[in-house]
Amino acid sequence: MAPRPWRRAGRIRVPDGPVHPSEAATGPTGSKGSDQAQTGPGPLLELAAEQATGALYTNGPWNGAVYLVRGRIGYVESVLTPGLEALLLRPTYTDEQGTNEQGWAQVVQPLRRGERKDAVSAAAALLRQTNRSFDTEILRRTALADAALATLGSTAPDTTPARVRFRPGIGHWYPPARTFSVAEMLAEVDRRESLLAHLTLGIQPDRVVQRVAELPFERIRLTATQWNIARLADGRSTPLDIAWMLGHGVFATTLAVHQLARLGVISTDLDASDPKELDGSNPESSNIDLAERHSRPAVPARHVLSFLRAATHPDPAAITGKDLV
Amino acid sequence: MHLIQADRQDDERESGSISVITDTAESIRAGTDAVHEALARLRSIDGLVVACLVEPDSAYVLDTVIGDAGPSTDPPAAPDSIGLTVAAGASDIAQVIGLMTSSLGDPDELEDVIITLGRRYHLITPLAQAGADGLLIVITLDRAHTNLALARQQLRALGPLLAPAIEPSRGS
Repeated sequence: MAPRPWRRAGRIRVPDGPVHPSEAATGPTGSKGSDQAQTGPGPLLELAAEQATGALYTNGPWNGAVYLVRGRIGYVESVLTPGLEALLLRPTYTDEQGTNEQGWAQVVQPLRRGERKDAVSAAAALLRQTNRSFDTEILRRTALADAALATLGSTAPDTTPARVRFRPGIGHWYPPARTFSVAEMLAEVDRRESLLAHLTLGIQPDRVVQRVAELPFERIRLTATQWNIARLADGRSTPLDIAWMLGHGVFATTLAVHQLARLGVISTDLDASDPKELDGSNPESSNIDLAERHSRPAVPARHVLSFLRAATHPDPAAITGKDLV
Repeated sequence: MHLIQADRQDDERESGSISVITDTAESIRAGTDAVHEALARLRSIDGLVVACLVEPDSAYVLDTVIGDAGPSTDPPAAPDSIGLTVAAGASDIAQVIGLMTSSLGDPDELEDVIITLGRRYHLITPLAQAGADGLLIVITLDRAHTNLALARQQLRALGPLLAPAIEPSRGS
């Protein structure tokens, strides 16, 4: 069973603007290289202020690493999200020899256990053969931001203290062409957490989804990715699983699943695959006990998620108080 | 492969990371920022205020370029925050249009969205072939200093350059 990383309410809030070493030192930090009681931006802010270069490892079940280059974030990886190597390798398992789900599954299984060695070798070999600097950099930033949510967000459970260790001089296998400040990456993590907190219809990265048995309308048009997501929403997979199967970002896949749920193609309630219950015009009719069982509000299916709201009104309550939603 | 040194330290094994000491990565070097270089071509558009490359499903701003007609004339606001706001709004619009066309079942593709304000245009152009699952380019133009038809042409010309595997060689 995969860990449930997206649920913990509350995190250390990061002050806006430049971070002074004295300020960073007030965080839950200790001496570098020693074990930390909890993950959080404290050690990261301290390392950023020191302009450190190296890898900050967060161990434990939510393990990941933040690669710093002179105090800026070069790359973030997490065992939960597909990294650059996964995003690079995925097309080779579909384009050239048709859909080869088995071959891809053999790549994914070790990656999801955190065993990256073979995939990294294959991805590095691929990069030496082909010349894809633009889309490699796009995929690198996609993977970085996706892993940042898992590694730097409110991910580590309070009950499972994670150790944080810094190893100077360690770099990621794909050297960054662009780095990001710790503050801007944490702001992006906050934006993503706020969006996840506002997801409706019970969609969450770690919640099983299922396509509906019968569409409650005459016609619909889906993009290729939307179709692939619907195809994989088999009542056993979560958006997290689907993202891995597709070789796409977990956060983007979760939001795409939400979009499909709004369209009435996917539902979270396995018992509610009867199209009657998914009719957006009457969301409260037969779903009340299900809604209560999952303690989610009965919301209109047409509720539209707003990126703009998350970007312009970052709502601390949305991040720290999911229980209120 | 010599450049990928399987890490034997306990730390990295625990965290599942394969790492190299930065100096020993010989075959894959940190290249130039191909994404920023591609987007920077849009600086040639007259009246450009800001251009953003956005991942549409997550509204993640992958890169931003500030144009000559950029924020200096504005009430003081950080250029990045202008880009973030415009990108978020554009992603919302793209999502709503996606809901609409999906529900209509109409097999037609969104070419672009032009938003006409009193002093500015916002131009949203999807690049279906770029990235893992398509990208959006969002540009804001100063109406007094731009030619919308020309700007659309310049934007469309950029599309193929952003498609995978067309970038010029990575140098050494």
